[in-house]
Amino acid sequence: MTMHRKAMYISSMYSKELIKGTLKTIILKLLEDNDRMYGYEITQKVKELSNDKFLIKEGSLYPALHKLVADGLLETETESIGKRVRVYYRLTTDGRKESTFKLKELQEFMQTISLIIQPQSAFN
Amino acid sequence: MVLNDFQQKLIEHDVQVSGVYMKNLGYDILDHLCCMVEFKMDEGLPFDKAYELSKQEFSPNGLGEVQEETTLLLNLNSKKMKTTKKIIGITGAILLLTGKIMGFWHLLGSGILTVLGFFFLTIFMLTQLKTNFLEEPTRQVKMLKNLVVFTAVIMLLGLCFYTMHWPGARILFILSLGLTVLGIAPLSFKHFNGLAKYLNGKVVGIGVLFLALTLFGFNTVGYSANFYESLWNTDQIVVSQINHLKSSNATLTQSKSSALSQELKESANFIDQFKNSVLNSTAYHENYPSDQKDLKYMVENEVWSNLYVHQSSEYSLEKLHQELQSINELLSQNQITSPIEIEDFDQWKRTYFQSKMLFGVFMYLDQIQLEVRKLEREVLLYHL
Repeated sequence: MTMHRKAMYISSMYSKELIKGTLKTIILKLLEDNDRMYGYEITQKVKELSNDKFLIKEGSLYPALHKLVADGLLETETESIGKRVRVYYRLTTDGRKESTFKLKELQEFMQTISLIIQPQSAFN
Repeated sequence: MVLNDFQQKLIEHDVQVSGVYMKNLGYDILDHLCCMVEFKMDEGLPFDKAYELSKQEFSPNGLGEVQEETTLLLNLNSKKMKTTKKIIGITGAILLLTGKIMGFWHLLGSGILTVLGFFFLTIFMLTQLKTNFLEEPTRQVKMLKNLVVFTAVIMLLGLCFYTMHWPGARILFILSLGLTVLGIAPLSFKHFNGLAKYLNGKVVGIGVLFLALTLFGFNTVGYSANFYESLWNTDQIVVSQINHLKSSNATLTQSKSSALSQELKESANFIDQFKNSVLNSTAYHENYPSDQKDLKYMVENEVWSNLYVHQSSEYSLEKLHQELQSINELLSQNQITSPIEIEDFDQWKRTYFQSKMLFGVFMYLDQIQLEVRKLEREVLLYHL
């Protein structure tokens, strides 16, 4: 089971630990910029923006999306595409606040990390 | 390239048999797989190959794994929530039960425990508002669920008010009944199909609890069909409490309050004898018409005339009036407010006896007898 979970998060370049901690922020940020998106569109957008360095696995994307819906940060709307139904995800008001907070948190975290791993450049 | 109906049906079938039961997740997986296959077919791959590759990329261990992960993530926090809810609910039930048991023995703090019990149970009901369903329910079903919880909270508050003898319990009960009849019932019928999908154990549990509370509430507040029986039951409880108090205090005999309680006991016994006297004098009479056509008239007059006939006897109406007046005087001497209201004899006679059915007369006599017994209990409890 642990092995399975590990496989679900692994991207082409980065380890699952790095992606797991940032997945929620990435989803929130994308939806903030794009109003509404569906699952496949999110994976393709991330792939495109990261120059194929960052691949979100479907097995981790959908649980995260449904969790965000359950937490009230996202809302869904369905649309018929031919004979299938497409679920679009959109930020709620709480989701917008959370997105701002998470982005700020991530930026501060990255600055702190750079202080630790590149202390010389930070000192200069 | 867009998939044809057959190809899409094939993928849809695979999603269904993989055990994905969450509706929106099922839509997500189907759409995602279709998009992936269409993209690969655009690159020149045949459907079979494109679908096989897409499935491998999507979830190498089967489509059901995505749902497993989703459920796991959704239940991660709700586990803590569930434990908290359980603790709140059990604490409320224990406090309420302890409060009621202590109240039966008139122990100090029973009231506080009862109110706290109701408070915890109300919080428990309110936490149900945050309960997540397996699926995202429709707005109407969500509204219905919230209405049920809201009504149950009002019902609980009503019970709390009723138990503590605070004013307003009846209004709260009527409000909760109104919400049930005008809100919950029509909405349940209207959205039954939508609701049936979400009928898991939790919903059924809440429903049963709500129903039990409703029945309990209306029974205790006095909507019971057999009021006379409940009066008699209360009387029996009070008598047993009096006996218990007497047996648990041997030093009773010489105290001032023992004389008062003795007086009250004698008054209660007098009312008992008076009742027997009325009953005996109004028993079946051979003068009653055989077809019982005018039975109501006969009984009314029989009671009335016999009460007058007995005026000179030991248990007359006047003597009962004097007995009740002497109770009130005795109570006022001991600075106790009497719950029995006695007007002047003629007025009292007209109000409770004249042209009254036997049942009505007995109801009044039972009520004042119960009041006298309650007073006896109070005297034993607080003036020993």
